[in-house]
This record gives sequence, C-alpha cells and structure tokens, in this order.
Amino acid sequence: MVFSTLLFLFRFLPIALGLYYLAPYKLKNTVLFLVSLVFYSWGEVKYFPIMLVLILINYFSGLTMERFDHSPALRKLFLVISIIGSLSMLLFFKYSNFVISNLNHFLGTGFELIGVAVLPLGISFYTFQTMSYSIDVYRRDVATEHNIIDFGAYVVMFPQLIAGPIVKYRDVSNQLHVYKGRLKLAQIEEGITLFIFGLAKKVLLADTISHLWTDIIGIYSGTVQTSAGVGLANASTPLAWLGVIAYSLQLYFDFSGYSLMGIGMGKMLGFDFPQNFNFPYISRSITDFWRRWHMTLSSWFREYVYIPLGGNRKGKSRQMFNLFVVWLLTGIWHGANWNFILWGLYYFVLLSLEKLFLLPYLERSKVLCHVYTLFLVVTGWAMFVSSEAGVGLGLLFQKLFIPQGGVGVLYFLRNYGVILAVSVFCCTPLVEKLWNRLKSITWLKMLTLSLLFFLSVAYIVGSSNSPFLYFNF
Amino acid sequence: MKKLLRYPVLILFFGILALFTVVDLLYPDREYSELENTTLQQRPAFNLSRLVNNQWTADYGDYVKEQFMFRDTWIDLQSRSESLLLQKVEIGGQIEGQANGQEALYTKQFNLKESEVSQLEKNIQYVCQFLEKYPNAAFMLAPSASLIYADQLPADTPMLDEEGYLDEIFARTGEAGQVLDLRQEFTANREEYLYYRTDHHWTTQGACLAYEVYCKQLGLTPSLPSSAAVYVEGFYGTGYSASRLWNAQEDVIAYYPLDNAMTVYDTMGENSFKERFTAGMYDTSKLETRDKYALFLYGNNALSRIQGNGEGKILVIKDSYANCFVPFLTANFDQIDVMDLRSYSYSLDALIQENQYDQILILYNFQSFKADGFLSALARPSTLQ
Repeated sequence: MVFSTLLFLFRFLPIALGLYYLAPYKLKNTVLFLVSLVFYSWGEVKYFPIMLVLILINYFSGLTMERFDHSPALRKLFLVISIIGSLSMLLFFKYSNFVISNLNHFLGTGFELIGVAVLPLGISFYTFQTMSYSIDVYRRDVATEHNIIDFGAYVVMFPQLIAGPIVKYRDVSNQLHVYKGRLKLAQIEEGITLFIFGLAKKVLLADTISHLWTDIIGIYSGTVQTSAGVGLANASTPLAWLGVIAYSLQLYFDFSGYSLMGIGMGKMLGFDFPQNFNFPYISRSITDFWRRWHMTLSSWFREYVYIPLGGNRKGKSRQMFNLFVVWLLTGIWHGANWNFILWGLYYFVLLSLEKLFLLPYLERSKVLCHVYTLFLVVTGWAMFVSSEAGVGLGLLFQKLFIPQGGVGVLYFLRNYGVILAVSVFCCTPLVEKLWNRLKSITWLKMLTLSLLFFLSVAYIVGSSNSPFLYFNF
Repeated sequence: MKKLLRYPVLILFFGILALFTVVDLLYPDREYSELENTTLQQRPAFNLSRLVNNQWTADYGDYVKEQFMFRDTWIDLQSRSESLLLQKVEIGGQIEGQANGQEALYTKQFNLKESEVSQLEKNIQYVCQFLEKYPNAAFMLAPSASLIYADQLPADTPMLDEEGYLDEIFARTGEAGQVLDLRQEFTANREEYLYYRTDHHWTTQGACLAYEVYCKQLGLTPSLPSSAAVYVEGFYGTGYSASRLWNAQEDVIAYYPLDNAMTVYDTMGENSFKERFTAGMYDTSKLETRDKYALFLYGNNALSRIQGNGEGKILVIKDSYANCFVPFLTANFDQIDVMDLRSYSYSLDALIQENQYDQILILYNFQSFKADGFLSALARPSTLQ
C-alpha cells in the first residue's frame, strides 16, 4: 500500500489509528503489529510468510544470544545465522536476476531468471532494521527483546516500512515498552503537521515536477512505452540539464516526503523516529551532502560497516579501503544495476578527494562550494537515473556534456516555471523560516495545513497516482 | 477535554479524516462517469483465490479511488490549481492555445510512441496494398488541429513533426493510389471554425470543407443540404474532459437535419450482418448528454447503410472523423455503406465484391491513424469461397 492513495488516507489510516488509540494500552503493540501486517501484505499477499520467517529468525537469534551469554562462539554463530537470514532474503529478491543475467552475459551460461515481479514491500529497509537489532544485541548495546509481538511490531511497523527512515531497534525500544501514557497530544499534533508536509511534498511537488522529466523521456510501464516524450535523443543540452535538475528535485521531494510522512505517523503512534533529510541541496560539500541526505542509511553504514572495519583509526590507506567498501555497498543497496555501483563509486572518489585535500578549500568559499556540490550531485543523479527505460548512460552524458542543439527549454520553463521556483524555494531553509512565522498564528497555521491537505487530496484524485520512485529499493 | 482544545490541528485533522471517511463510505457509487466517459470500478466481491492473487486488493484500491466522494469536484480543484496557481499551459495532456482569437485545447503529442512507430509503418503498408488492389479507392487523412494552428500553441511547444509524417504518408500512399491531402485547403481556410476548441474532432464545417475537396478531386458536384443547419451550444468535448480547464470555451455543434434512413448492422461473421435497427443519421438524444459528438451516425458501429439521394454506391472505411462527414455524401450517392474496422475484424473483399461499390473512401485523422491497430483488416485475405 502506498501512503499517497485514497485507500491509505481514508480507509487504512483512520481504521489503523482508531484501533490503535482505542485499544487498551497493553494491546497497542498487538494492534500495531496486526495492522502493519495488513499494510505489508496488501500489495503482495504471498509475501506474508516471508515477513513472519524474518521476524522469527531474528527474534530467536536474539533469545539464543542472551541464553548463551557466556559462550562467545555460540553468540557469534547466532549472530551470523540472523544476518544470513536477513541478508539472504535481500540478496535473493533484489539481486538474483542481476547476478544471473550478468553470469549469462559474461560466461555465456543459460540460467533462467527467477520470477520475482515485485520486491517484497520495503525489503531493503526492514532487513537493515533486523540486522541492526541482532548486531546491537550481540554487542550488548541493547537488551534482548523477549516479547515477539513487540519485536514484530518494531520490524513491520507501517510508517517506516516502505521508505524509511531506517529505525534502529534501540531508537524505539524504550518507547515500545512504555505501555501506559505512550501517547502525548503535543507529539501527535506535531506528527500530523509533519505528515501533511510530507504528503504535500510527495503529491504537490514531486509528482508535479516529475512531468518535466517524463515529457522528455516518456512514460514506461516496465519496458513498454505508454506515453511518448520528446525523446532524450532530440533534446538540446540545456533541456537535458533542465530535465536532470527536475529529476533531482523530484527524487528529493519524493523520498524526503515519504520519510516525513513516516516520521509524522510515527509521532502519531507515539514514536520518535530519527530525522532522515536535512536540506541536502544547500550542502557546502559532498561530505556535507551525505550528512544531510538519507541520514539514517549513512549512519547505518557508518555504524555497522565503516567503524567495524576500522574507520579512520588504522591509517589513511585502510581508511580509503573502508570508504570504498561502504560506497560500493551504498551503490548496490540503491539498486541491482551497474549504474548504481558506478554511482556509489563516484561518491567514493569524491569523498576521498575531499577527505584527502579538498575540504579545507571548500570550507573557505561561500558561493563556489554550493555550485560545486550541486553540480556534482545533479551529475550523480544523472548516473542514478540512467538505467531507467528511455535514458541510457552514454546518451544522457553525451547530451549533458557535449553542447548541442535540439528541443529547447522555453516551453518547459513556461509550463513548469512556477513549480520549479516553488520547488527550489522548498529546498532551502527559507521554507522552514516561513513556517515558523506562520505557525505562531493559530488560524494561519490551520489554514495552511488544511489547504495543503485539501490540495493534496485533489491531486491524488486528479492524477492517476504516479508510482513511488523509491519502491524497488 | 479542555486539554484537547489546546491542540486545534489535532482536532481539525482527525475531524476531517473521520468526516471524509464516513461520508465517502456512505456516498452513493456510480456505474459510469459521464465526464470521464468511462465505467467505474464497483465494489469487488471478496473471495479467497482473488485475494491470494492480489486481485481483490487491487480492485478494492481502484474502487476506493474511482468512487471517491465528489470525485469530479476534486478533479476540478486540481485543474484549477494547475492552471491558476502553477500557471501551467499543459493540463491533463491538453495544451492550452488559441484558435481564431479564442482559447483552444490541443492534444499533446511530443513524439510517436515506440509502438506507434511500428503501427504507423504497418498502417501505411495496409493502405498501400488496399489502394493497389482497388483502383476506385481513395485515402483521406485529416491533419490535426495542432498542425493547422501550429503557431497558436505556446511558444516553442515541441510538438511532433506531423507535417513531416504526413509528407511521407502521402508520398508513399500516393504512389499506390488516389490520396486526399487536406492541408492546403485547411490552412487557407483556417479563419473558419474547422476544429472544436474542446474536442479532438473536426467540426461539421471542417468536414464540409473536406467534402468539397473530395468532390473536386473525384469530379463530383458538391451540394450542401438545402435545409439550414441546426446549431447546438454547450458542447464540451474530450479535451475539456481531460483538462477540466476552468475557462474552456464551449463549442457549438452543427448538423443538417436530413431525413435519410440509416440501418445499423451487427457483425455475425465475414460479410454476414444482422440488422439492429433502422433510423435517421442522427441520434439527437445524445445532444442532452456530454458526449454530443456521438450524435452523428449513432457513434461507431461496424456497418451502417445509409439511403442516399444521388447515384451509385460508396463504401467509407473510417474512424470517428467520418461520422460528421458522411451525411454530406447523401447528395452524391444512392447507397452509403459505412464501415468501422474497430468492430469488424474480417476481410472486406466479399463485402466489396457483393456490393460492387463505385467508390471506396478510407477516412482517418492522423492521431488515430498512427495508433489504430485495426487497419490490418484492409490487407486480410477472405476466408470465404
């Protein structure tokens, strides 16, 4: 189920919240667990058992690690079992076909692809969450969860299931065990505000600006073109840049909007999830960018890969190697395709350069650092989008970097000018300043939120809803 | 309670959420959306196998989406936001331009789809084969409004090169037989009301111009109906339905009240038809509905036979552009057979042989010709002995 649908807003959400609020406090986690399972299974009923198996593996691994507290070998064994359990699911569903088709291509073998039409909802996110639990238990950073319902509620909790933020078990374990007085009105109200902002970001900004990009490359359902754009091959260099910029805006609002809806609903349920985006497009360096973009993923990799590998404590060359591993994995995490690996390594190179010598220069500049960062980030998104139908890495980069004529930007600036300007404004902290001013006046606050909500509903009804971009992650 | 009042956003949001959900649940379901010209998803019956196949959940999602309370009003609100807040010139695939000083909507087509590239190539070949086989056949392909009024679109709108495609189509089909290229005549008369402003069809006036071109080229005498045309106001066509543009200019639909009899047939098999009904050429009850263009020839039926006032027989193989064109032919022919291949997927050979038509006219407009998958019937061999 997708948040930005009428089904979610006016069926699932009121029923789920109603049951959760009305349930006696001891049953709240049970209700949360059950409604989340419905949410998870809605799109693909057959994947229901997969979730149960994943919960069971990690739950029992946690218990056994506690039971064999005195035996380091057994503890390690059950940690490995639980990680294999989580990781193998992710690898099987997400990467099998990529590996098979590459084997077939490079070795001339004839393996058949596995028949996975859609990935289990949110598999890239919840497998990372279960791993964080097992590793933390192993490290004794967190107490073992004894109640399987509470643990299940954590793993499959619907607000963060699809698109994060990646919530570590220890982030919410305290709240999960506060049964009485979990809900606070102020927190719920804040959650509502964030939810409406997230919805508006996704529906009003991301989905609207996305049409600029599809006007160029067309719309595809799988590999079948359902609507023709001008065609990337016909675009001029300025239009190619405008398209990639629009895509960069769309991706940001899409993903951060989703995260924000998740964080907002988390608060409505009485949980504080970690922040996931912090105005990434105002970064002053690539290092800064990755502290502001998808923060929970970066912190996951830092905590469970980079630091265990030694971080920066074992010399420069080892640090470079560690960075390489992290960014290779980050690339692969984003999708089973070569362009994502390339995209990850691109950031490895940039971050290494910054760490080695570039950062001090960037910190001294005022404007140039923003130009530098935005240029490299947008170029990165061009790599990122290049495996989509109708694009192609070679063609896109040739369009971007070899100046050429073709279909120009005038019509697109005319048609998308206002939404582009609004989007750029919303990428800066100015929008936060504006809100801080508005919200001090109660009626203005309520008017703004109502307007955003009503408009979002109108856009959801009006457009045959566009599929969420970060789905197959 | 007093504590709750300190959180007005909370009260408001949960109030709206509950209100919308309850009203939506009670809101009556519709079979059909007249504005969108489509049937709507009904409440799906639950059964276990459909649930396991994800069919029930998908249908239920569609059901909630399509039956949402005040659906039309929400769509209008979105359209207004697109045009008034975001100042867009393209809404719902319709581009806002001008025609003769008034707002007009043009179908957005930036390029051919991949499937259309191959379909167009096939369709050209089917028409060529047909023209070679039947020397008394002619091929008329109407240009889109966006070509005739290209300069009336927003600056630099990257529309596809219809001019180039038409050049190629006419060059190739012209080698195979007789073709009718309307571009010159339409461009010369573009001050006239040739196309609807809110619909993708040409007007009766546009069809009349095409009829004159047809007569001139075939050596017939064009003769307009002696009765005065009837004008019906308040027509908002498919372009309006797609865009819901708040300030769309209504169209005026015109027809000549001729009393020629028309018999509509159902297809039973190749060259096998069963009469459904006989009436006039106009279904005036459609004037009360939104889709007023369905007035002409009772919409798109497989075979219709019209009693004319002239001499000889003609077969018109067509898309919906021909619906308002065909009435003009009653002046020149005694029998007008109208065939819509979307409802007849057999060979035409036996029909043509049996009726010994004097003329055959293939009439399409570019936008349907590039995508129509039914023209293969033109080249289909007969299965009858």
